[in-house]
Amino acid sequence: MTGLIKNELLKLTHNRKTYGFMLALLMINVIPVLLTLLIGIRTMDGQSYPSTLYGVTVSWVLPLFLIAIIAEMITEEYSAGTLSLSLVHPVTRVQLITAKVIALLMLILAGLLYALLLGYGIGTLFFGWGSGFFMRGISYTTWEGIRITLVSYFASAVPLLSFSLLVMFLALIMSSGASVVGASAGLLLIFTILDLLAKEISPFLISSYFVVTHLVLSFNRQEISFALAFLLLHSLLFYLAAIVVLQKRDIVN
Amino acid sequence: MAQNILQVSNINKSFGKKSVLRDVSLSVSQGESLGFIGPNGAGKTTLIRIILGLVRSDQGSVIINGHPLRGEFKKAIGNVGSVVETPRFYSYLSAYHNLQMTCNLHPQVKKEKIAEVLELVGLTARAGDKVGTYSLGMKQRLGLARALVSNPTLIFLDEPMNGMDPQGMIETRALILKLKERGISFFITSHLLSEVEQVCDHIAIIKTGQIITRGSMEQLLTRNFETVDIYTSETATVTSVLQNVSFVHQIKTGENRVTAEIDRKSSANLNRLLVERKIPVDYLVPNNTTLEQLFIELTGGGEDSDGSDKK
Repeated sequence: MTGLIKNELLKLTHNRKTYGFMLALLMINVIPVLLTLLIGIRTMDGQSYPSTLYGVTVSWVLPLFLIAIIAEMITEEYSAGTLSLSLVHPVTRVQLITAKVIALLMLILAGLLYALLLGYGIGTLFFGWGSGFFMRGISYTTWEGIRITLVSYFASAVPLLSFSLLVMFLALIMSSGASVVGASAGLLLIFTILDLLAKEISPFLISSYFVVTHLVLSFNRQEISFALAFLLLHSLLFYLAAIVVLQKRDIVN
Repeated sequence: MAQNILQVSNINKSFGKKSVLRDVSLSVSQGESLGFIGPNGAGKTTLIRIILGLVRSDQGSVIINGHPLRGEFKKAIGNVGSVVETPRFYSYLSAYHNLQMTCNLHPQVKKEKIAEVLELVGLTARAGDKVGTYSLGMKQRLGLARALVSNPTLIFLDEPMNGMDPQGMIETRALILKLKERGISFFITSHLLSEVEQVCDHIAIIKTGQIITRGSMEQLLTRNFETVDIYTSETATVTSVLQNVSFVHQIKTGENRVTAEIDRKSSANLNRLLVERKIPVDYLVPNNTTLEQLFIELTGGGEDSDGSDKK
């Protein structure tokens, strides 16, 4: 199992998509800086900058990156015949899926850390650290601001992993990487639109949990418990479904 | 009797309504190399995939190193190396990293083994290059290296000479024979029947999903008769002389050549007879049965229509 995880990480660290994601995130961090320089009005500071970019990072950039990575990790590996390379060794299919999930969790955490550090770094470099942390019109101390930002970023790893399991399931039942990317990105868009249009179904849409700042700020136990229960069930459902699909599948590539 | 490393019993497999393998049974003992041959689409690759646990059979059992594949998969597959079809790699990784990935799946194998197998297949100098830059022949050699990383007792090679240059083929053949001497068993499929004949000591021929013959190479290629080509300008005389000879069974006359099918070990008698009759003969060439002849004889050549390797 450790060996399988090492292999997944080796592939991820040598994958061009990983570096493409890092570059994309860098550009997303730089764009507000350029706009501010162009307009000439300084409205941000270093300690608030990561939370300004938090929404777009966890709602779009990371999910889209994960879709691309999972499509390659499962569907494209299957069609290229490399998925079978691990399976002709003393590892089970359940272990293979589990290793991929663990590697994805590590990737998500690393991605979030990178986005966080990039936000703090670029924000401070161009706007200075600032005197306090502002969110939704409320002023917080620097330490409170750092805590809110850190917890928000890293708590998003849970819904992002749960979303990854849904994509992983799609990747196992679809035959081309392009279909997986199209279907998953389509779902993400539909979920987002539904989340905006029909608030009553929001609690049952995975995408509505990507941004967790409101839970971090309110610390409403009932809401947090519901969110955790939903995410756990969502994850378990697609993890087990992925295992069943792979277990039944004849690997002919 | 040598211990069976691989025992395949009564394997049946269908894809939908299409029956691909029917009641396939075979075995490989320690140090044996089995040439598994058959027309395209006969079911060779499907059987290998079943043995490796990639495809599930509908019926039958596979036992490797004494462990049933179903039930004791990890123990069964633990000492197996394989190259199935064209060797696949992560093209954006180096050869070393590709081998490291296999090594990672066998905790008992030390990292030094990677350098050892790379040296064995002559790829040490290119170990750091991305596999995407490799030729097919180099990929074949790297595939063999990967199959060797886990210290296997049984290696599956599917078309191992495909894409290799003559030098590469010679070296691979020598390597297989060397490994065989160390007690490693091989299960080889190849369309290059002359290579199979040189490397394997046993063969199994599959046609339309059924094993139509199996046994030792020597046993299958040995016939009750020999064929001798007699090169002479007096073909008519030779034909008339041989017509009434008891050890001659069949005569075919061609231009400056007579082909005679004679009893085994009768070529000396034939030679003596021709000398006694003072018939001028340029050459007497014994014509041994080759695996290729046997294969064509048994399968009729061509492709199978109702077995399939491609789904």
